[in-house]
Amino acid sequence: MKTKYWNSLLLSILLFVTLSVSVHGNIYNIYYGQASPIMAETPKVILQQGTAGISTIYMNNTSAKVSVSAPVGVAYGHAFKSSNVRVSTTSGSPVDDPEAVLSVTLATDSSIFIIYNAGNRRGSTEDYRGKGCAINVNGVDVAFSWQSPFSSNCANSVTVVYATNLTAGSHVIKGRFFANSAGATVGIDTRQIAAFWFPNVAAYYVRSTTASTTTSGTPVDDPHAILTFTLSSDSVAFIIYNAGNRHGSKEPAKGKGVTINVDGTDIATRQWQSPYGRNYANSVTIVYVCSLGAGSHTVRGRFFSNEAGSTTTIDERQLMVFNFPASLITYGFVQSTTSVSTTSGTPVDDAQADLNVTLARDSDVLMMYIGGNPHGATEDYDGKGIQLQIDGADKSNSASWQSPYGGNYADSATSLWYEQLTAGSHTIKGRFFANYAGYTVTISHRQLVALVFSKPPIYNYVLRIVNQVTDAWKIRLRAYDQSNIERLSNCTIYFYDGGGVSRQIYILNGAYSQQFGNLYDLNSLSTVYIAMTISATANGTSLVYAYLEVLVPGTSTYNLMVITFEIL
Amino acid sequence: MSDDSNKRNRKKLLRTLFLLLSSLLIVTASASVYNLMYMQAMPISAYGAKVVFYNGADASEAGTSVGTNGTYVKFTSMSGWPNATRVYENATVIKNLDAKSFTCQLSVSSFTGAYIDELYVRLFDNANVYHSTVQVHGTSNSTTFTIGAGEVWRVEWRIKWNANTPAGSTATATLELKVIGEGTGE
Repeated sequence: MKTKYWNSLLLSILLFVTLSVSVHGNIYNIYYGQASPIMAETPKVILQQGTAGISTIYMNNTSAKVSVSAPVGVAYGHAFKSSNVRVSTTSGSPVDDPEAVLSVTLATDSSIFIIYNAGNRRGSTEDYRGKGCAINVNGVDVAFSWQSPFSSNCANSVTVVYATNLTAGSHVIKGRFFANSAGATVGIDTRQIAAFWFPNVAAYYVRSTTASTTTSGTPVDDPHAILTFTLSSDSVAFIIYNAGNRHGSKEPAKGKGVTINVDGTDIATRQWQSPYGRNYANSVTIVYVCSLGAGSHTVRGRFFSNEAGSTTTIDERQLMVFNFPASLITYGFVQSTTSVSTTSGTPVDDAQADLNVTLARDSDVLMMYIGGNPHGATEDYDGKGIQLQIDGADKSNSASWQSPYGGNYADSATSLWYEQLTAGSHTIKGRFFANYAGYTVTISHRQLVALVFSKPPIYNYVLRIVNQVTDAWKIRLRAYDQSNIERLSNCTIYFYDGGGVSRQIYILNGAYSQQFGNLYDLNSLSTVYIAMTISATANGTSLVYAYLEVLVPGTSTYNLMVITFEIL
Repeated sequence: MSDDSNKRNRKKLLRTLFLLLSSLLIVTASASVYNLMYMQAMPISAYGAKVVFYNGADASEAGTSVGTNGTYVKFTSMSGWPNATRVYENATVIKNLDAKSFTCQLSVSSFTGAYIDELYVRLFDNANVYHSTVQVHGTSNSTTFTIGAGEVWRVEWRIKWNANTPAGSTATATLELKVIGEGTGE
């Protein structure tokens, strides 16, 4: 009985399944797409070897490998302007120095320092209360400094420094100036404005407008100019301390002095300045470069009264420390406490301010020279001028002039310059002269620095793209894969045809800033070149795999030709 | 008539009768017995295709030619350079003209040719987002997708000839697009 039941159940299931299968169906239409014929053509655009680096062209000339070497260096950008066009104002608030405007574009967020140095020579119209200068970034005045001369129409210069972090994009940086006494005329005969930015350096800076005073005749801490930081690697520190008081603040006629303290030790040199008179505007600048090992450090700005017991004031100061990896930067620095004097009204060498730098590659070089004398040194009341000389050529637009309170009073001046120097050996000198020929002026302490930023080598050119037919094409490069690009501080791959240039692939600070470029014309039977600039932060091998897209204009039909960039 | 003669006749009669009965049985067993039923398709209608091919933006470069009713497409001028990839990003498009979605299957029907390193047909959906690839010259030679009501899908062809390809070499590829469920409810 039981067997009969199970048999019936099994038969029922079998029947059900059979019925289900029987009623299953599908309705569809079938379409066809056919490609016939698909042809193999002779390439109409081909790759050919370049003249720089090592290029390998593979079969059919439709793919290639480029091998170039990348020296190690700091990723940086810069802008500089100097001018000897005179401008003047009677405004008591900052107005633009139209000769000191920099428009910069940062590829990535960066730490930036800006130095604006502006002054008038002896004999130019200058109110005895002197002038102030400011740095303006994107419409905001961000730093100030003030100075007064010996008397009306005497030499008077001001240096302002500012450091900050700016985001990627376009920025406008201006030097501005104003009369310390509104309504009185002040002017600028020459000025220099420099901006250097770095996406990947350890930068520390402070700008404070909290007043500090001292009556000490020896250096004491400026409590608002102290920077403590920790470095992850051995570095070269570029330090500037700029401190001053505005008109009306307590200041002795002998003025003030400043120095820099690194990890508890004052550096060997100082700078000094005296104003027009007691409680007149008076500022001082000092620069220093040193090696700092990995670890914690403290850098201080210090100041003192040139007349012990009399109060000197700092209304605003700027202190900045930019630390560059020691293995990536070249620099020259000299400081000296040996006095030199001259009566010459034209520049003569400061024999103690002489640097020889040897550049492995073409480089952007920032130079700064500060020379001054303390109270009591022989100094004509018309003061001195200083400027820089490179390989025997005076840089007249680097000139700056200053006059003290009176004869043999403290007096210093700052000269700033930038120049692109070729690979090889160069001599950089600080030079000085009397603002009134025949009268003695002195430099007792000086600092001369040359910061060398090696320009990424230009491989011009690594490949040629040759159009073998009369058809016009649009071309561009597109990176589609990579390895070990983190070490590349700058890798720029671009097209040029002798006229236009088009950046196609851009690696900045180890990451793509641009992975493909704009379409570029490859005209009938023409040639476009591929060039590269590269620098790295470490040794190694990096690979960038890219397609050369060769597009039929007005369509989305294109050819992909593989190009491998090997960067050693 | 003798008794023997009668007896013989009766025997013959019986034999004949047996033969007749046997014949009748045989005739009955070999006859076809069936019922007639009828199946009628009426009307078998012709209607416009709901999923169709259209020319893509690269039709002129690819030599795209869409057949009448949009149910067939042919590419007659596709080509490439040895050791470089030729891309026709928009050789043709597939449009769903209907108010409902359809499941489709795109598969390789045939391929002939040597020296081809890559021959890919890639689908991009209505939002131009990559969906899938049919490797005409490879192992993944079929893909299924659902095209929504009113959607337009882009079909990209990528061709890479081997570096050793002699100029003038040719290949042919035929793909089959199966539109499932199209025709129901007509």
